[in-house]
Amino acid sequence: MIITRIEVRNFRKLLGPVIIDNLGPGLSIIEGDNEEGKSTLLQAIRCGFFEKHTVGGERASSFQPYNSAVRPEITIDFEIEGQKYVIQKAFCQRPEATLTSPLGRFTGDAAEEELEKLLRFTRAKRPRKDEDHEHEGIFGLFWVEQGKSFAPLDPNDENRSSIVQALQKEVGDVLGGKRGRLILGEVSKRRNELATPTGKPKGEYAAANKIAQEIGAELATVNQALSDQERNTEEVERYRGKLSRHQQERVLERARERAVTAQKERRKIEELERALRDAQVAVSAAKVKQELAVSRSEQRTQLLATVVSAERKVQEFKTDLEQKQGVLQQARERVQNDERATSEATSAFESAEADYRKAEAGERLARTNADLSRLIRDEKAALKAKEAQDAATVAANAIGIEKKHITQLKKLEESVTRSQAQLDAIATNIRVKLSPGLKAKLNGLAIESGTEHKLTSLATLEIPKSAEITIIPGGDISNPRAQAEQDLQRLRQVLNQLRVESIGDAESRLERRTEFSNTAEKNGQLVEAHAPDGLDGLRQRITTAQGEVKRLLETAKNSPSSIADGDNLLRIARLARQEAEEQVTSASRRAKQSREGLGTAIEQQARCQAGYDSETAHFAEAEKQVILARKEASDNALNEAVVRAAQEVKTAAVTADAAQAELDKADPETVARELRIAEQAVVEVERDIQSLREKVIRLETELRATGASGFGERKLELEGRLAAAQSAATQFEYQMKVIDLLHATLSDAEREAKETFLRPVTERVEPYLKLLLPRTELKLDENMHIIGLKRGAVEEKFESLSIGTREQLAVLTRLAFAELLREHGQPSAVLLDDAIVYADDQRFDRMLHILHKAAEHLQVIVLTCRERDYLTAGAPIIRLAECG
Amino acid sequence: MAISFIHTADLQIGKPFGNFAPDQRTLLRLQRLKTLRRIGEIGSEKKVDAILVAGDVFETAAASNDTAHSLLYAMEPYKGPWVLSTGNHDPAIAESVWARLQALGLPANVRLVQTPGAITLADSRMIVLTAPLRRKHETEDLTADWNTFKTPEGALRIGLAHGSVTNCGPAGTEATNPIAGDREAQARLDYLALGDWHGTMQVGDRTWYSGTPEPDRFKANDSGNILLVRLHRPGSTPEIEKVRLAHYNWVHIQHNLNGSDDLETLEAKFKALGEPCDRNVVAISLTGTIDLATRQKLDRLLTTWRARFLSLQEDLAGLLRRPTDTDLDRIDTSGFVRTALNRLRSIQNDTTNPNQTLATGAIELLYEIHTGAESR
Repeated sequence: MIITRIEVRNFRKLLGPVIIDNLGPGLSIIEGDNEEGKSTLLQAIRCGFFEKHTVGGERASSFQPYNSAVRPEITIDFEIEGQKYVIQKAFCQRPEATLTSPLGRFTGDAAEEELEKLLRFTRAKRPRKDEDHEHEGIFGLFWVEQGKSFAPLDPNDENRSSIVQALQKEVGDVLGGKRGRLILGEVSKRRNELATPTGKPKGEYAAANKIAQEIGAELATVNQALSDQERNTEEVERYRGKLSRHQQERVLERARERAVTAQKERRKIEELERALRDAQVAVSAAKVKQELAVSRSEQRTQLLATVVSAERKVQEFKTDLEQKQGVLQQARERVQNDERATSEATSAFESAEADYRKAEAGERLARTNADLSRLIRDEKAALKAKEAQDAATVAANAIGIEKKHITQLKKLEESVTRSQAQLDAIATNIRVKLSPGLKAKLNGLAIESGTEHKLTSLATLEIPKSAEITIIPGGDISNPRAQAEQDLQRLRQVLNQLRVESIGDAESRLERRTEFSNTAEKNGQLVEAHAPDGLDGLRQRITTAQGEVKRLLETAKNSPSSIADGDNLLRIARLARQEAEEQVTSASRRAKQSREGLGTAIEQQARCQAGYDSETAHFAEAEKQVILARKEASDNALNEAVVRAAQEVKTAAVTADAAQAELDKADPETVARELRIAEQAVVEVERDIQSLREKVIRLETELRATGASGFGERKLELEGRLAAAQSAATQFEYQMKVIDLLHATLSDAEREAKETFLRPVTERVEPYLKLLLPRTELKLDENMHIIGLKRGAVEEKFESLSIGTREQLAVLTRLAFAELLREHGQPSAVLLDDAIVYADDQRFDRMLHILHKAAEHLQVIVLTCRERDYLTAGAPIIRLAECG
Repeated sequence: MAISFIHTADLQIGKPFGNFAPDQRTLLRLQRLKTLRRIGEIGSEKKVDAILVAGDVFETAAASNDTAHSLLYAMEPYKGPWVLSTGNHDPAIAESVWARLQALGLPANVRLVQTPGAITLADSRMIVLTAPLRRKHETEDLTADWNTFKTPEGALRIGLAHGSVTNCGPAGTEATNPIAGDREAQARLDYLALGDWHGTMQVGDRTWYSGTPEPDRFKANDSGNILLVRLHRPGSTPEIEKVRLAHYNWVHIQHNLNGSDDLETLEAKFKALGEPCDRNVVAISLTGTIDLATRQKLDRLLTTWRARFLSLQEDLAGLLRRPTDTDLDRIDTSGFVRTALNRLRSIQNDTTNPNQTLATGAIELLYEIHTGAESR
């Protein structure tokens, strides 16, 4: 397909007629600034081909320019395989469609249908959207709008079907279609039923294995039980054999006979042992008897020695007792002397103590007398001062002037002075100069010539005989004059009240009053100095002192002449008392020592007496015992008994030695051993037989019990079942291996088929890729999705490639698809709206080469806002701005 | 007056048939008791003087007490003397099922033979000489003592033993428990009743294996009978009547398959086994070479008959499956599936490839999936 002319009117922002002419095969660049309508142009082309002219509603309105109700119109001239076509469409008001083709002119729906057939697309049932390219046939894949070029290719069903048809034309039906996928799916399903992804058995396979294992385990248990049973059977036979051997060989009977013989021998030995024991007992008895005789003889000797010893001790105690009694007497005398001396010293001390008390009272009496004289003197002086104080207080109180009166008088005097001064200021001054000889009188009083007089009221100046002049002061003088007179009046009034003549008089009276007050205060201080507790307190103290004097006088009998005399007498009495006290202490100490000496002497004498008494009794007792013992047996008889007992011991020992010799000869040890062995043998044989019988019974019981459960049958059954279960498990294993082999073979074949299937695409991509990214390989899946890029052995996923690389790969894959389809009779122009925007300069140049290479067979129209980039692209540039 | 008795052996009571499915093994096990009961009934009907069992009464000497009880119950219909001797399966070892059977309290008419000796029956007109096995395998001929065993004048001398008659039995069977081939002559026997061989077989003028009364294996050796023996007087030739009792028909079919026609003959063989079908216990061993289409038909055939017989055991190891081009084309003629098929076929044809057998299975599976998918 080659688009040769595009005319657009009133379509969205393309208002005025935009006419792009002279488009031809190969590469063309349509340039327009941002917002100039490049993308709208692409939308208009899509609308022209794929939007039904009768579309209404919002979709149709969206074609109209903003806020305008004009009729959008699109006309596209194009060629397919050399045949010329024109499609004209108008929307909204009077919708129209006209297809002019070599077959004729079609209008309305007929035009739409013809167009569908021509371009091999199926119209959508619902209204299109701008971004919806599902129903644009192969063109949806090759007309790339702005901002979508780097997205992974996602061919829709129509595209895919076209591409698959084209591929199958080249490589045949290598994929095997739906049937192949179904078979592989079924194999996978069966594999999944029998094993996990890692090949571990599951489902029936696992169950079969489990059953075989379980039967195997049970069989092992049963085999073990049977083997135990067999062993027990053998054992029971062996024990039965042993028992019957015992019986045949009379083992127990023979052992018993031997034991009887040994017992007889043993009884003989017992007889000999008894004889020996009797002889030994006789020896022991003789020895005891001998010991008794010796002991009695020794006791007698001991008793005699005790009598002698006691007598000697009695004598010793007697001498000692006499000496102790002498010492006791001396001690008693010493105590009597010392106690008398102590008594005397005590009497002397008591006398000295009484003298000391008298001297002490005399000393205090002297001091109290002195205090009493002083108190009487203070009383007199205090009384005198009190009188003077009272007289001065009376005199002061007689004067009535106080300081406040003086202050009041001074204020009044100031008022008089102030009102007089005011009067003087407005008074009428007259100066009378008299001629010599002349005399004058003012208000009857003579005045000197030349003197000045102030007149404040009507005055009469009389110059005798010459004139009598009446002077009347002018102005308002009456008020000040009245004030002056009032003030003066009040002053005189207060003076009269105070009964003073003047302020000076008042002040001298106040001064006198102050003097009296001072005198009274001074005398008050004197009273306090002599009687600090007041006069009554002073009198109380005097009375107390007088009582004390009287009391002391009774003790002291007479009073010392002075305090010094009292002190002296007291010192002498204290010394005398101290001396007497020391005498008492000394005497008491001596008496105590002699009393202690007496105690010791008494104790020693008593102890000695007790010893004497005890020893005397002991001696008497011993003497009594000797007498009694001799009555029983004489000393001689005892000695004879000792000799006789020794002879008896000797005789018994000879008999015992003979019995021992006979026993040794009979060899009791060997006899005892033989008996032990023989008896033990019987026990052992009996035990063996018993044990064998028990074992036989136990094993028989056990065998009966285990036999009853029929392990033999169980074993046979399990063996059969195990063989069947193992065969089933093996069958599953075989099946699994078969499925694995089939799965692997099918998967490998499918993978290879896919590679073969896509080869026509990869072959067409290869020359472009060589230009863009040498030594790389594009990986596609059978759904025509780009999976990634292979560089050497490394595969990179499409999503992880840079956005620029993704964009460039998507463009060149589209070019390859377009080329493939063109070769298989489905030519399409390739329209790229700013599709190479993420390329660096080098890549951009390579992409231009690629576009040129593709344009050798295809029409490639690039819409761009980057005119500068394409200036040297070697392709015609159509500026949208100039297409109006 | 003539003496008659039933000679049977190898009852194998309690045989568990573990390699069969649970239902099948129950039926097979219980049938042996039913057959024994039937023997008792015949004994009673025919008024025989005794029923002699020549060993292998039980499948194992370690049979359970339940089995022992069920044995006693099955013997009830015949009130005359039962003489049960031990065999290599149930030797009289210590505390075996025999000892327990004895302990359970036997009916008076049942005689267990655990020690060698003689049993006098039929008013002393019949002396049964015994040689019971006390171990699984005896190397000595236990019947040798009979030669010198004296019996009253006029009494019939009947031998009862279990083992292999030297030079007479099937090859390789005489290694243990041997019995001299001329024992009947040496011991002056009127009849020698033997057990061990499961098919009915005469091995001397007066010496017989009765075989098992109920078959228990696929050997085609005339098993499933008892012998009704009649003796008129000492030295006279015994009259033997073979009575068939077998309930289940154990059949082993060997068949060569090379095409669809052979399938038809196989089915004809199945049909020929007769009714009721579920009394047939069948084993087949197939040989030959078939294509996948035939294989599929065979599977359908076997599935059908498997449900009809009591049991159908199949051995297809000798059957080669060779997919033909038609088989493969049927699966797919193009696409990757066909590629995979071609590869599997080359593995199948490569005798050095360890996966050769698996490849056959894989092709069959593919064929099955494909035809399954096709039928859907």
